[in-house]
Amino acid sequence: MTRYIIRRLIGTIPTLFVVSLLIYSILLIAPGGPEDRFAQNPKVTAAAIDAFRKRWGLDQPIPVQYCRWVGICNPDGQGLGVFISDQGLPNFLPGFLGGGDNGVLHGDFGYSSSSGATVISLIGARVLPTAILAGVSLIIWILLAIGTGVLAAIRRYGKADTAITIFNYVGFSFPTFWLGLMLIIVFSEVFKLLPAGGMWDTRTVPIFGTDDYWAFVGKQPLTAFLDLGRHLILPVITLVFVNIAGDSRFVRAAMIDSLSQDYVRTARAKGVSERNVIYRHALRNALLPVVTNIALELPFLFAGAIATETIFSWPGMGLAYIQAVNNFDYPVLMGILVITAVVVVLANLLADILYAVVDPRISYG
Amino acid sequence: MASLVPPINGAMTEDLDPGGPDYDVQLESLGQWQIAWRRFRRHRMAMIGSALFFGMVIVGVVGPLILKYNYYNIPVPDVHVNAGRPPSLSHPFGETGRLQWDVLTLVVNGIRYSLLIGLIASAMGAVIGTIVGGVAGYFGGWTDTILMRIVDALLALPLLFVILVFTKFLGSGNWISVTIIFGLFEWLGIARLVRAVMLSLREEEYVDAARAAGISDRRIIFRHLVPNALSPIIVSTTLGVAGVIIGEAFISFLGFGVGFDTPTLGNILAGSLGFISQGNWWWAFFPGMAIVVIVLGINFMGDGLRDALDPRAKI
Repeated sequence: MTRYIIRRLIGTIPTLFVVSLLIYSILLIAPGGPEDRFAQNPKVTAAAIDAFRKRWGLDQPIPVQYCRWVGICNPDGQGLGVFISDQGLPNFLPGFLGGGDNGVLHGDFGYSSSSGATVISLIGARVLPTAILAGVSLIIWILLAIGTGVLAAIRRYGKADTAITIFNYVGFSFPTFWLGLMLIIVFSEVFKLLPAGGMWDTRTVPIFGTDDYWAFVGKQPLTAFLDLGRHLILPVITLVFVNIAGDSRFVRAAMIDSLSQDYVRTARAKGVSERNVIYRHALRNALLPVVTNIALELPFLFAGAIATETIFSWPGMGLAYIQAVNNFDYPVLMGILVITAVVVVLANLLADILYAVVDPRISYG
Repeated sequence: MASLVPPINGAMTEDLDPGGPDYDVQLESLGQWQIAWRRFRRHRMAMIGSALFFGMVIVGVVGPLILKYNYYNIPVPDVHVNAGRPPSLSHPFGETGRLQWDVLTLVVNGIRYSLLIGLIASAMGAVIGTIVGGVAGYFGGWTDTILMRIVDALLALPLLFVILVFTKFLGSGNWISVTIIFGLFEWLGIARLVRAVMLSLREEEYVDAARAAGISDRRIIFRHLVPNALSPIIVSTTLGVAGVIIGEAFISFLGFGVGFDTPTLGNILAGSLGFISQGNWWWAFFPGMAIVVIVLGINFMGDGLRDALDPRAKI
């Protein structure tokens, strides 16, 4: 098993390499480069632009720039060679192991070109809101998907199945952002029940993530919790409604498949109660493919809530991405793309490993 | 092989009936596509889906010609209401805010362009995907490894992220360039599908026979192998149209996609955002409903096609 995991981990390296090349080249061919914003400014002389280019290494050949961005070449041009840091150790190791401290491999994505903060701190502040939104939605949607999927499978072609199927198709056909808009219109404009966006009530609660906020949570946990809950309802409904369909169909198919297996017939023949047949025998086996399917969906929930976060101004990764695109903020864009790609690749790996773990029939030689 | 094409066209236009009456018990030999068409016709959801989808196609094609207003020249209204007026007899879908344009006119023109973008981009994706998948699967080895690594890498990026960057930086505004950008990212799934089919088929004896007869690789791939992968390609392309329409709507909604001079369902929605708080729900509601109807139709149709084209499925 360990050998299998190690082999798969090594197998991700070429994929991640190609991903990093793609991300780098996408942003290379995109206009609006780092020095373009000086073009309209008469006070910035050509010499100053040259100095700026030199300062940020933009005068170097593109492979060198890429190599520095990844963090293999020494950042200040005084390196001992491409793969060796100035301590004589391979440069892709983290700083405390003797590698460099500059570049993606060392967790350094540079500085945001619009705010000047480090990219990693900007993204770090967005992880928790996204995790809260994604986590709550994921739990609700998995439970609902399994529930509706099982119900549809045991009442196959019955009224419940038809209703669930239609619901799934409709949910699947809804554009996320439009559903969000409609929910805002109904619940926030017409009935004025729920906030139209944001993560906290700006009048009563301090800014999320600051020390003030945590102090407030310590003093009035119930108020803070209820406030967060109120702001979560609409985005969570949006995410769940749109995403439940695929998984529900998947559970239904897996369940129908396992209900027609011989061991289910055997269990029924032995007089096992229908309830036990469904939950003990069929569902457990039907959940095997579902587990891996969910592992594959995780990264897209992590990053793919762009639409929901944008509509509801939820201060997460998706909104950060949209803002970065708007500001031509290349370092932040590249940071989010790289992190997302790593999460996707690792989730694929996790799905395969989970599949091997939960299903003893799979051999991982 | 060329005779494969007409019946599938028949399946699309609905008025052609190649199968003949069902009670005909004469010995008739039915082609693969004739069988598929019969199964498709019996699939209730598929027929509803086709009706929805082709209904919207008709609206998109004919609608702009018979509407009272022209998208590029909508007259100034008699009364000025900044939030726009709700649906009425003269404006069944209401008016937009600020300029008070007729929402029905916008939606009908939007349907036309959204459908065009969806159909062209997924057709492009199907062609590129078939070529890449076919080449990768047939030749195998390094060609396969390199091409599939690129596919893996592109799939590791949320495509919407990448498309956002592209439309923002390269082709924002013009609907043709947005279509091309979507087309350039639509092929990944199809390439994987086609490659998988190729990998199993290239070991078949008829391929060996073709090779022994001195037929070129290109002809073997596109004449002998690709036709066997047509069913998954058709299903995937059909569902791809829905994906592109939603994706384009989202990107235009964010303001990175097609510019306002070409109406699409997404950029109509983009305009409505500022007027929701003024009580103008109809401007946002109708274009979104149009997307839902189109996408629902395509999804029903795609599922019906999948069942009809799969010889193992029982209907």
